[in-house]
Amino acid sequence: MPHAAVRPRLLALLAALALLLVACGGDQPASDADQPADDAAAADGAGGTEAAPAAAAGDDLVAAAQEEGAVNLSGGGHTRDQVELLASAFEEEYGIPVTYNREESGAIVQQVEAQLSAGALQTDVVSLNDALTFERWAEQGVTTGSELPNRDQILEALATGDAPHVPFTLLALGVSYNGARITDPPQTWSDLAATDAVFAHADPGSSGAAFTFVGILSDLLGEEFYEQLGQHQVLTTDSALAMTQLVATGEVDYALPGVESEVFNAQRSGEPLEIVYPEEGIPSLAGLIAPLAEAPNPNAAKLLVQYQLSEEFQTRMAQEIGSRSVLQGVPAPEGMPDLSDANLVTAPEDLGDRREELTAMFSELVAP
Amino acid sequence: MGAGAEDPAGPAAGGLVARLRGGTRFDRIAALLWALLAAALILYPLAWLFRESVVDDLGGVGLGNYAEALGRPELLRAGLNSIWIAGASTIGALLLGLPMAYLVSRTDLPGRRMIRSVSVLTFAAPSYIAALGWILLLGPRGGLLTTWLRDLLGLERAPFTIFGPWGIVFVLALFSYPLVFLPTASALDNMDAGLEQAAANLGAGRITVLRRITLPLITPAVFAGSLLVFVNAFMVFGPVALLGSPVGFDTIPTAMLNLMRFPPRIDLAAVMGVPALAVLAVLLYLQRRAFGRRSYSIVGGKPGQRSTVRLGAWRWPALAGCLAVLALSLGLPFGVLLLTSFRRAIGLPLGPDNLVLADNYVRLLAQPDIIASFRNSLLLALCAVIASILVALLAAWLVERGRARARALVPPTMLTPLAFQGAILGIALVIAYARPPFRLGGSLTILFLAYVILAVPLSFSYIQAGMKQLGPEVEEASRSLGASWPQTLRRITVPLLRGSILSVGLLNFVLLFRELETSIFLYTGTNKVAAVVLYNLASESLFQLMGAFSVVLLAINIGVVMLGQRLLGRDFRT
Repeated sequence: MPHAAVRPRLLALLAALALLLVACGGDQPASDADQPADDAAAADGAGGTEAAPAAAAGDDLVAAAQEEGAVNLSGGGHTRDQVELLASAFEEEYGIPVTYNREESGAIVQQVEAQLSAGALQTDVVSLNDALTFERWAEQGVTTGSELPNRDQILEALATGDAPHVPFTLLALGVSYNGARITDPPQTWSDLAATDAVFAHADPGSSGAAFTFVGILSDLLGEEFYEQLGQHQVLTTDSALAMTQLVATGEVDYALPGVESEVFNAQRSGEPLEIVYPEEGIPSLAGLIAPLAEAPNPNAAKLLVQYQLSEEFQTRMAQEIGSRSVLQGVPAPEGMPDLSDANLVTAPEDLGDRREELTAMFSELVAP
Repeated sequence: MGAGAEDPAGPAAGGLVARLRGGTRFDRIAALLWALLAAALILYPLAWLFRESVVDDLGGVGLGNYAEALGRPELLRAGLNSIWIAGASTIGALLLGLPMAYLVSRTDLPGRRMIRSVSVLTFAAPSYIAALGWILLLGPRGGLLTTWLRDLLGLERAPFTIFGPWGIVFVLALFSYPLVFLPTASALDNMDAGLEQAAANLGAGRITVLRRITLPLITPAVFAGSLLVFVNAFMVFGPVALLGSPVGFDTIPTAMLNLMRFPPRIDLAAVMGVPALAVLAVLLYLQRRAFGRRSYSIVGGKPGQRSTVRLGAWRWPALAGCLAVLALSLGLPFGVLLLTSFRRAIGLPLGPDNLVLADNYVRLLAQPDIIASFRNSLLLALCAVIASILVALLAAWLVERGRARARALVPPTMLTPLAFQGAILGIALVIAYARPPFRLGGSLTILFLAYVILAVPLSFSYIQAGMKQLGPEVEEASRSLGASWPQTLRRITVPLLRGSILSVGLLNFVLLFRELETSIFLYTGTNKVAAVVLYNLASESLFQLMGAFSVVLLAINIGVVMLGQRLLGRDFRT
């Protein structure tokens, strides 16, 4: 065998590097302590830091949460901007680092179920755009209440009664498009389906927002809407957020469902994205959040949910990243349409029983 | 799995140990240690995969799960799609790799050494990142190249689309051709030219020599490379998920991941894994049986002086063709991602107003989950490389120096993971180790196990080949001077094998650092690795961040490959 001039100490160096990395601790929660505050907050001075204690959380809960010292959030209902802002603001407020992962609701449900079945739960708090799973989890005792002090401040239409899960943002779903390419988008769902265009649609089998959207639209417009949509070229994506890129680059003309906070943030970073709300009705749903009953950090989990629903943070969310609040009295994000008089349509009550029917309908008509 | 179920690997592992008995005490300890490792890493997950596929919810054994899978057309279609993609990608890789091998080995093509070196860099670059780059380049409506070509040719619509099976084959062929090109070029280099000269002296024309002498001699290398392309393409996840799923095109790995979603059907995923594993195992077995003992340098003595084929006027077109392959496989897709990492908005035309210097990199560094994933990937790749080398050293010693009776079992066991990879390995580890009693789901440990399993075949092949070439004399001298076997292994064998160890260590590091195919099945949100986070960034349309992350990941991997080339020269074997 030929022998190259290899320095033996290189092997030792590699081994030493491995040991160093081990010493760094691969399993430790990542802290974002050094992360700078959100640029927008710095720029406009928003942030509500002048507000009273963030969540009116009890001192005992705060002390217990700080003793736990960490909290993990699996964010299926959050956008990346939402989860980043929550993590940084929560750590600023309480000094507790938040580790998180953001994926579509379907993936988060699968991951949490996998952790539960393995008996090795590592997640403290879950957010989803999927009320049905939260209802099932509530029945099974997977989730637990967060002792929210301001629950009566939640908009009545979005309230979840005594359920462990609570809404944290209102999603009004429309149609996103590239304003640099399209200047006159259709104003009704019927016109949209009749438009000769290329569409993207998030897969209702994996995206909670898309599943609710399909349920609402198929009730509102009948299956004919999807039959007509299926006559066009439709690309499907796992997540509603994956469509922003397809719209921005012009690969598709319209994306369904368009998520307004995503459009807002894309606009903020310079992308020419727009959203239109067709006239027949605006599908809407709430992003939901709940602590898990067997959370490794139960107090920090409750505190995080309380902070998420605090007026201070709800205001920051609206002002800095364009996410609509679920609390009465918090104004809509600047630059977003006032939907108070709009025809907001929420999910039908029997949506949970129709999962297979709706996903099969979508697969057959739109993504065969 | 029901509580109290018996360990299905138990009897098999016990039998293996019994057959490995024999030789000295050190032999027996080494054999036992190896048997335990092989059982834990390979036999145990394999056994659970098979068990899951035949056991129903009530604990009954039967073929009900298989019957259900056969009744679901989308799963059958995914299986056929996998075969189609693997076959077409193999043909594509052969069409690119064979002419290039001939050109760099037998002709006066300019830049031959550079072409070999650059093609090795392909191993550093994951195909899913290339797929992302090609979406930006060849998207049917907004791709940079598509738009340019459409304007140039005055077309209203793009004549092709990157989304769909042909796009996947295009990307995979460009990423797999080095698996054919490099071993074939090496076989052509090492072939005894005297045979070809003798044929030519006897009146055979160039085509006849090529057909009757050259091709048969390089067939083992070509077949082995083609098989690797087929196996990789059969189980590849990233390009299919990115280019196929948007148009409803699934293969076995993407269908298996869909089965893991709510409501999870791990039993059906296992059903898909078992026949896929069987197909791959049979192919690898046939390859080994047909060519395993044949060497392409079959004639003893020194290779004769080979005459170089003069390309004449074809030199420059041939060079342009080779450079085009390098540009298409590396330059263009990664160039566009580099460009994307400096873009402010991807929805606006390129221009000075739409460029930022470091914003996307600053944002990347401010993401704690990305930093954590990066650190985890480095840690896992390094630790798995070291562990796989230790396992391979043990196994190679047993085969080449040991006296255990059943040491013939060692090579096929160590090479089993060649068929046991990607989605199949991911599902098997979830079934075997994620649930009680091990409860490793969502941990870095389960990823570590996966990475060791993935790295073992390559580590074993390199180290066994190195040990075989060393010969036992030096070690025997050490033993006769009173050193024990462990001392001899540590002070004589390992130092003499350092070239092989470093070579395979660097190569495995590069492959594991970018591993997605298995990691995506073992990821539960708390055990982030770079490839999965990168893949998820694409799902969130964060292309600028993704571009920046790709650049960092590639820079590290390319740096490692170049380090290997610099330290080992042509001995940095791939």
